[in-house]
Amino acid sequence: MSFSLHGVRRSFDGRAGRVAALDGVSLDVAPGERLVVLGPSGAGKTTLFGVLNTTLRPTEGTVRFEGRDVSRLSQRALRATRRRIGTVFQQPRLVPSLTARQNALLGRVGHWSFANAVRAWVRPSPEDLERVDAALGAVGLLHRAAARGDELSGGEQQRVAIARVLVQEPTAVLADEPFSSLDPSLRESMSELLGVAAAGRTLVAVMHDVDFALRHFPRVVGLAAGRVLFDVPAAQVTPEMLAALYPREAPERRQVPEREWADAFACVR
Amino acid sequence: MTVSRSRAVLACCLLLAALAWAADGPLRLSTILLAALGWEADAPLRVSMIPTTDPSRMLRDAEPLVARLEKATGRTVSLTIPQNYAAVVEALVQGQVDVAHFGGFTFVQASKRAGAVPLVQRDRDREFHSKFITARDDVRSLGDLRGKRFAFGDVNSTSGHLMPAYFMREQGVDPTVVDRAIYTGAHDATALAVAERRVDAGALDEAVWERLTQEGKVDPTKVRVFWTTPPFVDYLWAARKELDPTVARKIADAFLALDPGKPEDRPILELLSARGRYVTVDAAAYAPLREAAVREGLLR
Amino acid sequence: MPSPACAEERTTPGPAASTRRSTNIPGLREAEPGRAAPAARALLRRRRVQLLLVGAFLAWSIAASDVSPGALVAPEALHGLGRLLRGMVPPDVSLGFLGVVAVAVGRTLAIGIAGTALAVLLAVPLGILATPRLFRPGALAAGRGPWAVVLFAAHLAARATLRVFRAVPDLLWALLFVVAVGLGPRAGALALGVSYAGVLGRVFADLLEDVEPSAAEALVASGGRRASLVLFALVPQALPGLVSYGLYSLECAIRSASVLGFVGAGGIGQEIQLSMRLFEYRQVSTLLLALLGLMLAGEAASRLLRRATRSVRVTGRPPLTGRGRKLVTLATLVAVVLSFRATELLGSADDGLLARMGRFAAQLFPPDLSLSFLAALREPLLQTLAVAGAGTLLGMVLAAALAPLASAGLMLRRPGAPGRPGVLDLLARLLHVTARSSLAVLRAIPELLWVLLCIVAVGFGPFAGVLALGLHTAGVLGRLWAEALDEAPADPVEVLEAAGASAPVWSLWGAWPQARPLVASYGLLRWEFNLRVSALVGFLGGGGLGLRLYNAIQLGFYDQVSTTVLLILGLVMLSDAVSDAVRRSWLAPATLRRDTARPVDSSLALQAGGLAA
Repeated sequence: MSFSLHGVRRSFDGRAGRVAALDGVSLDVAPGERLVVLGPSGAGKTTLFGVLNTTLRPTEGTVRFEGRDVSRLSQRALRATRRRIGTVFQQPRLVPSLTARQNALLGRVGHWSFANAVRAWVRPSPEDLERVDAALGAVGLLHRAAARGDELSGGEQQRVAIARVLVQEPTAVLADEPFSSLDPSLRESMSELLGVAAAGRTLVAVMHDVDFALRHFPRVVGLAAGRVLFDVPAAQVTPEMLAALYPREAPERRQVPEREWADAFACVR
Repeated sequence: MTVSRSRAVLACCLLLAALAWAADGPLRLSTILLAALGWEADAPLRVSMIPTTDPSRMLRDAEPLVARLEKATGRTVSLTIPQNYAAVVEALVQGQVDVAHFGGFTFVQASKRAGAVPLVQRDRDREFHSKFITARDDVRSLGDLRGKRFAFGDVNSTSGHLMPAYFMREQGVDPTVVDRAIYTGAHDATALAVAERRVDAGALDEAVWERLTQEGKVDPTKVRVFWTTPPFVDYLWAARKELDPTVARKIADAFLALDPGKPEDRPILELLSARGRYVTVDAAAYAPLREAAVREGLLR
Repeated sequence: MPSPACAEERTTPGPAASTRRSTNIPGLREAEPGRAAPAARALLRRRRVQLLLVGAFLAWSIAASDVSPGALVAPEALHGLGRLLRGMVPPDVSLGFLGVVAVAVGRTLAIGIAGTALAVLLAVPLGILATPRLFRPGALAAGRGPWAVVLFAAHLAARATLRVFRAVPDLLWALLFVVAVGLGPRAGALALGVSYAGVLGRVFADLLEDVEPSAAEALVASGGRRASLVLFALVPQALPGLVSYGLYSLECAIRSASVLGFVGAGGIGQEIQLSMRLFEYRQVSTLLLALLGLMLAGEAASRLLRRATRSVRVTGRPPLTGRGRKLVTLATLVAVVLSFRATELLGSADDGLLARMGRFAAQLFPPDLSLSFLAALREPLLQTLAVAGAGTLLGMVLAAALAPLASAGLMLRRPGAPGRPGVLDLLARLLHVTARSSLAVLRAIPELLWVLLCIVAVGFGPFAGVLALGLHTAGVLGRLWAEALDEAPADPVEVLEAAGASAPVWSLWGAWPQARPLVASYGLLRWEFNLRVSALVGFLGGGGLGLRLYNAIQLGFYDQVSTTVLLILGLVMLSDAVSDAVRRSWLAPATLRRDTARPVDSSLALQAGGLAA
């Protein structure tokens, strides 16, 4: 298994006492599998995301990544685990004063010792540079490599974020609402790029855009109030399921042909 | 929550207020108390001394002298010793002090600005010397001072600055030694700065040097005198021009009467580092000093 | 489709926001010269020249200030330090001396409070006069005719006055007031009042300039006169800002008050200077402890007072309301009145204060501009520059070493972070605590006290001044830099953490690039402040102009005093102009203005800038 969650519970101390953001979630994700987590806001998607990328420690239950219990790892081993998990956040989260090239280079941070990091500050290694240029080429941003992070447009920034994941060379990719900050017109091309980044890797995405999710992901997990409501192949998602997931505004499910999804991730297969 | 916070604020402010009062109050209170006890006679005689060493220690040590002056004049004597030499000159010029103990140069300044009246001085003050001291093996003569750090006392000191600087120039010492010298503010501070090697050499009052070595404050095996200046005229007691001449006379007489032969006078004389008796002052003897000060650019 | 995720966007700055912050110099890093715009190329060239000049200046300053690290470990230095430290224990806690300490602490507080209050009082009229929107020709409700010209002249004069008030270091003000009104706390309070009035007046003018204009425009439209405009439309809106800034500076003022004593302006500094000069080290250590306590108490008090002034944005805590507020106001008034009395500004038997100040001021003119005197000032002037340069450099080097250790984000494990805690965490925590407390001590001891301590180690001379400036600067900058690292926007940092970066690595690549502008800006501020101090350290034997100034004062050569003061003034203004130029070509617009340091730290930033707004 790539990810394996068992009985994961995570609670926060809020004003109204302890609130369980995740309330007993179990989930197995096979290597190379593509899965999307759907749910209304407050369902615990972001918490789940944090637990998956090992920055949040569950209150209860076990999280395994590639067979190893994450909560038992030493910090060094934990860092080694993290560099095998690539993350695309809702916002691109670039370092504004660094160039696009340097930002993409940051995918390598998990592989660096401090000495390497200092060396990379002065002059990155040729291998790293090669990776970075390949990644920037893959996302079509080589011509903007020298621009500062805060000079890039929103779409360009998100593309750099994807290049960063490519450079990281992880075995699994997590994406938290990766396109929600983008113009709708950009989403399709960006999802294509995400597909590039996740080629041959496990991909877990958290989304609220049901149509988009159903079009692009073969497996769909519905999360509500910190519990898994359903966990089925995309084709089996029914309007009733979605109605239960989004009680007030049940979106109508459109029939999505299998082929469209295959197109979007053509490069994957 | 709000109540306890406002209390904390109140407490803090009251504390601030109390501290501010404490800085102000006790001093006033003490004067009021003293006045109530009848200690404060009208118009005390105001005496001041240039701070050749630690002012608070000088104040303590001067108690027998103050008592003697009170006996001689029949008035209360209030002795103040400020932090620097210039303040004594300023106080006399402003009429805030009646009688003051000056160095030669400060007397020249005071008489130029307010016509101070010279009274008495120790016999040794007519032929006074400065000692040049060092703790370094490679300083044996004035010529060795080139490139070394040198210390004077107060900038207005005769034996701690004016005359040593004057003689250094006269002896052809590298002028940058004088230009780059630092000022410790007092003779004993110069001695200690030399002893602790914060400077390479320094110049100070011979009387203070004698006292420091006698008291063991400075180890003469480590710090040694490598040059002594030719004699010059120095310390004296002087009065404000407007002071009642009979009072001035009484003070002068009190000093002149001090006799090393009398056991009751000896502590006072020791305190004043006087080996012999007190003598009257010849104001004309200060002319060379004035000239030296002008030459050194210290007097205009 | 409605976006339920919007609520989760939190404080993440959108791309639009970050683009606005950019310096807009395409291709600046990894520049491809052929493609860079001409403006960018010119900027690059300017930066290169500036770097070269700054580097050359620093190299010269090290050479010119007799920096000799060997002197630090020479047997004499160790012996002197050993004697000092041995002499300092146990502290003198005799009842008599504790009384002296208590009075000194009280006086210091009184000087700080009275000085700040005086500054606010001076700042209101000067600030109003210095507000361009009120007096510039054609401004809001500007009059016509000769009267308007007179007022405009007064406006220009007020602005110039405020500038001079700010540019002359507070220590120099203290020195001048000591001569004018005599030794003691009165000189200190006056010095603080004038020097802080320069800052507060400028702040008030800026506040008045920025006040929401609709009320003012309405008044103008209804034919209101300028006086009523000021009274009813502008001042009420700007006054709370002034008061809260004044309270801000209180903590700073108390810090300054403890230092002014070194030049004879009363308070704890004067006692320390005295005990140090008399080699009474046990008294020094008692006074030192009292000083540390005073600094901590000052920080706590100003935090509390600030909360009373509704600046939630500033304190992050809810403001005081109702009764608490009234009590604070009342107690503040009482404290101010008592401080005025304690510093003999009020109810003093000795009058003729203004006459004495006038007489002194008259003696300052005309300045001595004779060639021989100016030539004599050349060397101390260069030495002052060198001490400031080398001292700032030393401070930056030390701060650069200590700041990462003092950064909580870098050194401390967050509670609840995943992964097993290890021995390294404990070690890191230990290092962190050590670094933080060393910075606190370095910071708490004022430069002038450091000078006295360094003289014990390395003897009199500019090197002692360099060490003193460097040590204190390290304390201030180290903390500011650590906070800049800790408060770098977290989003990019979290990305690096999620990608498996260790704390040193994400600090270097995530926090440092973001903190860089603030770090540079604090460094520059400190340079400006250090120049002001280095002009005075010579007073205590640390080299530079201070000694000349002191001797001129002692000899009563007031025309030389005024020449030296003018020289220091010119030097300070020149250095401020230079560092403004450096700022403009290196820092993003957001960090350009000196008063935009994050509000939470303004008290520290004030300290960093020495109120050099």
